[in-house]
Amino acid sequence: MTEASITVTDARVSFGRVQVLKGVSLLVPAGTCFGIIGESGSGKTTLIRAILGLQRLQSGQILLSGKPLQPGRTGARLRAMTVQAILQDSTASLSPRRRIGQLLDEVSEVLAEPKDATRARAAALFDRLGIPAAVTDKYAHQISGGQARRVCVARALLMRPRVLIADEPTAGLDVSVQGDLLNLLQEIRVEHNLTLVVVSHNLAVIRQIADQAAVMCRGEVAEVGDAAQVFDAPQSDYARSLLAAWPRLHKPANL
Amino acid sequence: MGIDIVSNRPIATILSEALPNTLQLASTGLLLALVFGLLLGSIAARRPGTLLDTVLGVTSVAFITTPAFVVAIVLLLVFSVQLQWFPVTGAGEPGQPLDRLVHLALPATALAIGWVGYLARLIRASLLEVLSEDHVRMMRAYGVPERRIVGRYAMRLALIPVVAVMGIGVGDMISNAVFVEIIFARPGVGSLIYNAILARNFPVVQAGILFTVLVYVTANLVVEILNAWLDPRIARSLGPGS
Amino acid sequence: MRALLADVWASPTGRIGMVLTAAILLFITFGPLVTPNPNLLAVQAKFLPPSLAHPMGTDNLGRDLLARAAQGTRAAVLIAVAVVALSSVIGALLGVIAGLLGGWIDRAILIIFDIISAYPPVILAMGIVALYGTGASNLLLVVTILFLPQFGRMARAQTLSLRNQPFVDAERILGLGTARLVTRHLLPNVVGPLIVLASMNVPVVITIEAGLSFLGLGVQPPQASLGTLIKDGYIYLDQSWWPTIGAAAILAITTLGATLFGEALRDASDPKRKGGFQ
Repeated sequence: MTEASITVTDARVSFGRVQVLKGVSLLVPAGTCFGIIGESGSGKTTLIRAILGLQRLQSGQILLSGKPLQPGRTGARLRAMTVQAILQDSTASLSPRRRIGQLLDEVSEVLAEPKDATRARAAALFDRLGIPAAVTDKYAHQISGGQARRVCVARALLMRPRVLIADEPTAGLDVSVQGDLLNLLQEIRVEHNLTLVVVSHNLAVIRQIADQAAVMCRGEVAEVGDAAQVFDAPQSDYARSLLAAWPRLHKPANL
Repeated sequence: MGIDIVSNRPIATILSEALPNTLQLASTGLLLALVFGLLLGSIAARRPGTLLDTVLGVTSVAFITTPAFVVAIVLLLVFSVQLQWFPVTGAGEPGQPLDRLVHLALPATALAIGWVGYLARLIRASLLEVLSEDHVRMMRAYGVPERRIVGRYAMRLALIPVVAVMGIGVGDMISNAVFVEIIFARPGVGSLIYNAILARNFPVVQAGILFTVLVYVTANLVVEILNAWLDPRIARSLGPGS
Repeated sequence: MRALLADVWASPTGRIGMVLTAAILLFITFGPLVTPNPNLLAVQAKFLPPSLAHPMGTDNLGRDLLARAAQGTRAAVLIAVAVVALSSVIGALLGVIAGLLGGWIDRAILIIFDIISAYPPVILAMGIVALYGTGASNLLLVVTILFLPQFGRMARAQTLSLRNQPFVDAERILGLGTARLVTRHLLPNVVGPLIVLASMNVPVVITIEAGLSFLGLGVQPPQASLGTLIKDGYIYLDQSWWPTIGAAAILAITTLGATLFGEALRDASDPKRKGGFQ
């Protein structure tokens, strides 16, 4: 039995009368790449917001590495040192009136690590991710979308998390860059011994990167299992129709 | 509200004697401001960008920024002390409308000046906006005379923001009435509160402020309702189901 | 900043405002240095009309009115700047917190703002000063409170529009606390429009301060303020009108200049207003 890095039990959230999560249960094993597929409105974003502590649950429980997180500052800090995320719009998720370097310095504040040490680690990461060192003196609007995304990855990794969540990691990138980024995420997962959670409505992305996958539909998990099984032999009607609607260029070998 | 220990009369009676004077002053001031503000504003809006427009614009700002008590002193100095056209102080004999009106002229003007400037600017801006809308262009295309477009159609729409600021207007009139009443030595709620402050007669101060707030809040409520009645969009947002 | 001032200079009214404001700033900076002691009494020289020795004449105690006007204008401007600075910082903080946290905190702060604005401003100030005593520091406190709702509501509206920006989520995910989130990431984005509103409120505060001092509820003698100068002159209006009119003119010039400057600054900093008709 592998260790679970995220355990979601019967999570429920509603906005007004609309139930966005109708009792979601999910187990993300440690060290895997876990894909979450779903259309917009399926509740996948709300689910990861709940995991990240940005959305309160009405009922249910989320465990990180088997432990519940208490509310308040200590809980928030512990959560930040366990789970990190890169959001869809990377440029907009970098605070507009601070230089990239200043945003990296915040990591040393949260970790209570000397600034120089964080900067040194950041320099190494920038090198690894192919970000020019000069970016640290710039503002978010002065760098390209691809660079902004890599900066977000670097900032998340600086926190030394156990889990990295990537929300639509390829959105808004050139097709040529998309593949590179997915490969990079995969390599980093191995190098840093991370659990990687990739959320996307793009089936090709999940198919390329995930070991396990969950299909979400209208606030529920329609199907979950090994990625190969979910894609090649879907059990639920919804997953089947979703896959049927996917215009694929290459059919899976065993069909 | 109890008995005033200084004059040994009920505070409520003292207040209700002072209130009509203040209300007359404030409403005359507001009326003057509306009339002249509308006039100057529509003149400026008909000729945007001209020298006259710029002059009216700067004049309006000067009106707005000169405090009412300064205007009051200057009016008093020029028209009462030097020219002796108007009486210097008081509110006039009760029961003699003409005398009261003569006594009201300068104080009400002093109150109105600031809002003449403010309303002129407001009217100019909102008229210009309305006049650039499609339905007005349509009327122009049909050959409806400009005077009629402004007077009959555009003005009605342009008045909506004016009604919206009337609540603030009432508050301003009441506030500035304090100065004007003191300078022209008029009896009223403002001078009552002021004299009570000087005499450290706090029950009267408290009652006076309470009274003023009551008038202010009521005026704001009336304005809100009037506003909803004029602009159906607001009525909808106030109604059920919002 | 330079480009902004160039834009202000480019508009005719902005230019008038800039010149008047610069003149007043020079007056309050160097005026007290070159004029005689504003509190120097010379009873035999009272109510002198303007002359070379006394460019604005003298008052009922023979004090030099130009010197008193310089001192009084300096007091008025300093009080106004202090009030606006305090009020905008505290108001912005309250507004950002209300907008960010929402819920009962938001409602409580809004109710405080509503209570403050339920009073006609001068009446409220009169009441508080009457209860807690006159003087420059109480005046400062009272007028600061009066202006809190304006700044607070604006900051709250700005925060509400910022709150759903991804970078706020990103900072939360990083584990940043609310205090740092507010001071480091939200306030800097609220500050621009707030500065414009603040600059436009300086002349309004000068007016209110002058009014309260005129009533004897603000700055106390022998310290001069524009309001007390006008009041002193008003008492002796039947003997000489120079003192009143001189101080009133300086007050009017100060507020007019500051307002024209503030409005030009607002127009220059708002890209939607630039170029006028669109």
